Formats: sequence, C-alpha cells, structure tokens
Amino acid sequence: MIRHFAAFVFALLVLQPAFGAKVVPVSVVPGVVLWHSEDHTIPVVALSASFPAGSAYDPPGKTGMAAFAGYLLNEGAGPLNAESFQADLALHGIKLEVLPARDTMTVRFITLSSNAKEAFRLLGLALNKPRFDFDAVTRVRLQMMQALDQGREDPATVAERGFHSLYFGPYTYGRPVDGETRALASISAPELRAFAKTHWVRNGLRIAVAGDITAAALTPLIQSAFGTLPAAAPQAPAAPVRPGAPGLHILAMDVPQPAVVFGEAGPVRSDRDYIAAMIANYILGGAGSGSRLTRELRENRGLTYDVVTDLVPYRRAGLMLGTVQTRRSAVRQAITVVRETMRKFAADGPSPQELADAKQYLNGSFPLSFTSNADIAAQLNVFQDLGLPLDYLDRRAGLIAAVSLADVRRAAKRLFDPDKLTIVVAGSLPTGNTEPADSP
Amino acid sequence: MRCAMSDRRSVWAAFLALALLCLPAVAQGHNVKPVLSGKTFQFVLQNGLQVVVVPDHRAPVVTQMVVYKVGAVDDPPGISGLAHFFEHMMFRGTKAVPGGGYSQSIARSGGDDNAFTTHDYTVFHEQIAKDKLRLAARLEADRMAGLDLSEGAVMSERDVVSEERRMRIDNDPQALVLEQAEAALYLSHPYGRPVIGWPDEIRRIGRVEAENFYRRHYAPNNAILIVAGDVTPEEVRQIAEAEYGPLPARELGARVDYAQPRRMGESRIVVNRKDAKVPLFLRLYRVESYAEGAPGEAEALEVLARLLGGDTTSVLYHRLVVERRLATDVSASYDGYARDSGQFSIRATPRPGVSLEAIERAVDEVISTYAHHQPSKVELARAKAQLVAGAAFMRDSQFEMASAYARALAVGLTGFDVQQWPARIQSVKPKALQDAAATSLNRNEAVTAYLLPRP
Repeated sequence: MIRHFAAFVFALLVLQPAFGAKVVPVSVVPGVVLWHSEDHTIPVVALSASFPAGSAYDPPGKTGMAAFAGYLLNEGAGPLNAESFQADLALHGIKLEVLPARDTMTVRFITLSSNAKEAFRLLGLALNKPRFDFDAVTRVRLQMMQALDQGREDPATVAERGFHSLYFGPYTYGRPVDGETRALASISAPELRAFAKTHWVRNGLRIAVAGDITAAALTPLIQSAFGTLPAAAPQAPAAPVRPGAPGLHILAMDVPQPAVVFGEAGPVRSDRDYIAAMIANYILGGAGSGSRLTRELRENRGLTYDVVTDLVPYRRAGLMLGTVQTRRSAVRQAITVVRETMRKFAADGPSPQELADAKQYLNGSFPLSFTSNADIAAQLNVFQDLGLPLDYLDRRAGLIAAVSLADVRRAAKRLFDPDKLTIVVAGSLPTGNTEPADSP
Repeated sequence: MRCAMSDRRSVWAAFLALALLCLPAVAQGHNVKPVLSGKTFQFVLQNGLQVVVVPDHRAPVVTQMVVYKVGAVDDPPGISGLAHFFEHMMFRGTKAVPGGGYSQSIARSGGDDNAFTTHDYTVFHEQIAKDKLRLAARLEADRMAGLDLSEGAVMSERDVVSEERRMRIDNDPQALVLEQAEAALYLSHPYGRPVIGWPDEIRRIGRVEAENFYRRHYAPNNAILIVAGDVTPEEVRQIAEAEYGPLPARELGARVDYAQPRRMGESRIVVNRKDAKVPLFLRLYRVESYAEGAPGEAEALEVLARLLGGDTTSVLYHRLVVERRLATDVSASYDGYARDSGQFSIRATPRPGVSLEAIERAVDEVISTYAHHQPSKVELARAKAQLVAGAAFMRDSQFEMASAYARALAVGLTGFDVQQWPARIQSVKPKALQDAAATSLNRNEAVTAYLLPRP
C-alpha cells in the first residue's frame, strides 16, 4: 500500500545556533522524526537513520537476530542479488553502513549529491524488499560466528560482554549485540524476514540528513524510501531486571595485559540530573588526559595507556561504565586506585576550578561535532535517539552553565559508589587468592 | 621546498588551487566525476616552517596540525620506539607551560588534541573554536623549543608506552603476525622495526636519549604547519609569524639514508599461537610509494588494491568468499605514503576447515589472472568511482583534509599532488593495472605469513 504525504516544513523553527549548522525539522512521513541540515558548500549528502531494531528486541533464544538482519541489509533487495546490489552502490561511490546497537539499528550512508537519488533508491529497496537469500544468510552467519571467535581472543571484548551479562543477566541488555554462536546457528531466513518486517518500521524511525540537498528535493526521496514501511512499532522489550552484580569477577584467559571493565547504575537520559552526571563523569574519567583517573593511573603511576569512564544511557537503564587495561602484575593496584579515586570524588565532590573547566570544555567543544556533513547527520541522529528535542541544540549551553557545585557533588555521590561496582577482569592475576571465577 | 631563508617576510605561493583548471575531461557514463577542490594556500616562514591553509568556512572551528619530518625511521640503533616515545613526552610540559598544562589549556578552550607517529613523520593536532587558533599556535610553538624533560616523567611515560604496546600488539595475535611479517619484509631497512618499538628497547629509553632526539629533530625548519577550517590565509599568516616566527631555525640531525637491500626470494613465516582462535593468511609486498614511484605507478597500485580487495564487490572477495566459498573475508590495501617503499597487503580469513594453503593458491590465481589480463571496464570503473567519491567525502571533513596534506607533504609530495589525486586516479589505464600486478606484486618482494591457532 502506497500513501502519499504532504511535505511540511516548519520554517519558524529554523535554528541558527552558534555552532554553525542550521537544522530544520521536516514532516514528511507520519510517525517519522526527520531533521535536515542544508549546506551546499561540499557536494555530499549524509544520512543517518535509526530503527527500533536493536539487540534488546532479539527474541528469546535468538540472540544476535537484530544484528544478523542488519548485516544483511546490503546483501540483496528486490530484483538485485547481493552482488548486484553492492555493485550498484560501488559504481555510484555510495558508502552504506549498518551499526547494530542495543536499542537501535542505525543505517548510515554518505554519497555525492549527484548520486543522492540512487542512494535513497537502494536504501529504500533494502528496507522495503530485503531478500535474505540462502547464500547471503549463510555467508553472513559464518562471518558473524568467526567474529565471535575472534572476539574471544581479545580481553577488552571478553570483559565488555562479560560485564553486560553479569550486570543485566540473560535478558534485554545482558545479551551481546553480535549474538551467540548457538543462537546464530538456529536463526533461519524466514525468521530474519519476519524480524525485519516487524522492526524496520516507520514508528520509532528517526532520520537526520545533512549536506547538499534542499528540503524540496529531499521530501520525495524520503517518502519513497521510508513512506511504505509498515507503520506499527514493535512491542517494547522487557525492562532490565538485574541491577548489577557488585564485586570482582574474573574471566580467565592467558594474555599479557588483562582488560578491566567496571560499572554501576547511571542515569537514563531523561533523568533530571543527567547534565550534572555528565559533568561529574567528565571530571572523574571522561576528560581524557585531564581526568582524575588519567592523572592517578597514567600520569602519576604509569599503570595504563588509557583509562576512561562513560555514561551509557540505554533507553530503559543507565550505566556508568569504565575501562582500563594494565599488565597482569598491576591489575589489583589499578582496581584499588580506581576505587579510591572514585571514593574521594564521591565524598568531596569537584573543586570550583574543575567544575568551571568541565563547563568550558563541554560547551566550547560542542561545535567540533558539527564540522562535516557526516558528523552532523550522525550527531543529530544520536540526539534524536536520546529523545532530545530539536531546541536542545540551543538550550544545551544554558543547561550546562546552570549546573552548580552542589548538583555535581550530588551526581558524583550517586554515580561513583565504589562498593556498588561490578568489576570484570578478562585475563589472569599473578597469584591465587582470587574470588572464584564467575563465567557468564 | 625545505627552507626559504632569504626573504624577511614569508614567501607567498598562494596558488596551488589553480591546478583545477586542467582536469582532464571525464568520460561519459562515469557515475562519479572528480569534484573540484577548494582553494588551498601555501607559504614558508623565514625560519623554514612550511605553512598550508585549507579554508572551510562551514563551522566556526579550525584544525591545526604540526607535522615533524621525523619518525621511527630516525630511532637510533638499539632504541626502537624513541620517536613514538618522544611524541608522548611532548605532552609532559615545558618551562613556560609545565606538567599537563598544554592539554589542560586546550580542553579549557573547548578543544581536542592528540598526536601520532609513523615511520616517516610525527603529527600533533588540535581541533578548536576558530577564535582559539592563536592559543593553539602559541602552545605548539612553545613545545617546539621549550620542552622540559624531567627524569620522573620519562620513567613513568616509559611504563605507559609499554602498556600501549601490550594493548595494541602483544594482546593481539594478528598484530604480532603483522609485526613479524614487516620485520621480514624490509630486511635491514628500519621500516621493519615497529613504530612503537621492541619491548626490550622501549625499556632502554632514558632522559638523555629523549633530550638528544628533541635537539636533533624538533625545529621550525623540520616542520609543516597545516591549518584547515574557518580561517583566511591572511589570519594564519599573522598568527604563524607572531607565534612560530620568533623560533630560530636549527641545524638538524641528518636523516640516515638507509638502503633498501635487494630481496632475492620470498620470506615465509608460520606463527602458531595458543591465543589465536581464528587462522589468518597475510601477504605483504614491498612496492613503489608515491614518493619514489614513477608518475602514475602509485595511483595504479591504489586502484589495483581497491579492485582486488577494496570491499565486497572486489575480485578477491567475489572469487574466494562468494564463488568458491574458501574464505569468510578477504581484503587488499595499499599504503603509498612513505618516503621509501610503499606496502601492498592482502589478508584473508579461511572458512572453518579450509587450509591456508588453499587460500594462498586461490589468492595467487587471482593475482596471476590480473598480471596476464587487463581488468574489465566495469571493474575498473567501480574501483575508480569508489576512490574518487572517497576523495570528495574527505573534503567533507576539515580534519581529513588536513590529514591528507600532512601525509603527502611529510613524505616529500606537494599540495599540487593532493589536489590532482582524484584526476590522476581517474586517468589510470587498464594496462597500468596489469603492469602493477605483473611487476609490483612480485613474490621476491613478498612475505607470506600464516597465523595458526595452536590447539
């Protein structure tokens, strides 16, 4: 069924903020959020679109279904088999990529504006008429299985998967995005087709387009690529049930440098204290070379090349997630220093100088994410996924400026409780006397 | 190009951009036409600092890169990793801006900074609001001459670099195999030493070695300043003269001109690792670079790599993965931005149960086909379309543009070469690809490495 929708541009909402990009909401397809940033300097168009098709929607026993379907997006559609489809993309120099995540599946392309029509045509074909040919399904399944094997070589990957499994348990966010070998083996082409039909849909679809294309030219392309997708949104995944597994967990593997992943509950994006938490995280472990953790572990003690913490606001649960890698003999010391640095920060909060520095960086660096069409489309799509309104682009600076020392102290106390940390080490420690290994 | 000492003011040469008028006509039917580049400006300060300006006024942001023509090739014998280690030390404070003051100042101004080291050159970069360019220039100029190396900082940074090595190389069997293969490929040439250094040699680095390295290589007459983004050439000229201008040119340590000894046969390595879960086939060829190849040779290798193994539409992928079902993945790539030889590489992951010998035979059959026949029109068009579109996508990013000038100028190419690249790619002839496959992909110039999981 094909329906036509009138394009309607809210001209009054045009924003021209200090960071440069001008972003306009365009209403083309009901249920679909579309933001458009128009600039004709470079003859390139970038698109980022996200679907409610992340791994949180994987059916029971079918871990990896969402990613599997996503990786097949460019493996044939409509009259084109995988080879013809990919050859069409290549001959037009179109770069199309799929990024499966826990809440969403994000599809991005970048194209010369002279080939934008072709890019939208191929993407529309892929979304509306995916083939899931036997050959392609078999090939991609094997590739995913081998990537899983390769991931088992890498302590950082093992620790990250282990952390999610221990923290969230075997549901929703606890399962790995890229699947499990046995589950992948059990997924069939008809199941993939059914998953695409129910999850590559209009409701919950968010699109950002940036670059050398006018709203008038964009509207029909969006309509034909996305307008005929099924409307119904998929049933929301179950809320996560297992809030962490505090303590130290060791996933034994023989590597020169174990990887440590540590974390605890963080705010979801709609939390009123989110901005304060963002500032607190910047000061403790988000500021790169300027963070307290980098100073304590890297500069003062030479323990690691990289230690970092992040806020991870999944749709239905938030995390504060940190990573550090160090030589076997220093793992215990590194964990102790992380805990102590957190404890001190949670107890004393930031200094006025740290707060001022954090605000200056977070506001001053905002325009850096808007220097290319590819970056603009990606960044806008991320804000859409987080449920932020378009005027957030303008309001963000004020929200950050308004955060007080007390706000950050409160957020730090909530975010960095060393006794609530779930800590996962992939590797081995030099001596015995460790807690029993917990293998998820 | 190195230094213009005669003139009091900077020497202007603001015209690399003109190049564009002479693009060759593009054949009908091509889906991707070379996109005209924007204007670029270039000049040299009296102290020898080369300056390149790439205006892009879309966002109120600039990218500054300072490129030093020194890299791992210049590590003294027995101390591999020194150039990379020294890159780290550039963040550990100067007399005027002690400790972590450099990164702190950049962050307080809303900027990001980082650096990287290759065999031939070292790059320091910042991205920051345009009204903070002056600050970023002042900080780079300050650490070009005023570094304050303390014993304590050297020792703790050495531990940091050892951790970096464990993370990037020692923890990763594939990275270890690549390191072994490169060591074999270049014989005695220092491209065979890892940029990050051998573990035992990283541990030998001390304050004195770092100090000497700084004196010999860090000077305005050994550097290139690239500014891309929301600036005019005149603004950059003023800032560059004010901040970098007062630094004196220095006598540089001579770069050793290493021989690239003739190879008389292929090298083969089999690495068995308990930590590897998946086998890997790796083939490296020592080939011409942009700097040393005849006109068009490097471009032909660039197109050949794309055509043979650039993506899922490539010949190797089609043959090994789709058609014969021997591999789950295969790719080829060419790295031609080097002062000495370039590198052409092929890597493949076999399907479970398929031997690496079978993979190798299939790869060599494909190469042999292209050494004896010219590629089809459509294959060639596809490979070129992707490369030429890629150049346009690069222009979408001020950081990518600055990087493109950095890697070209660092190995002795010119801004003109950067601008002409898409047109040169477009004009590569089918015969040139056949020649590249027949002569450059020569097994005497190759290392074949197998990574095998040890049960």
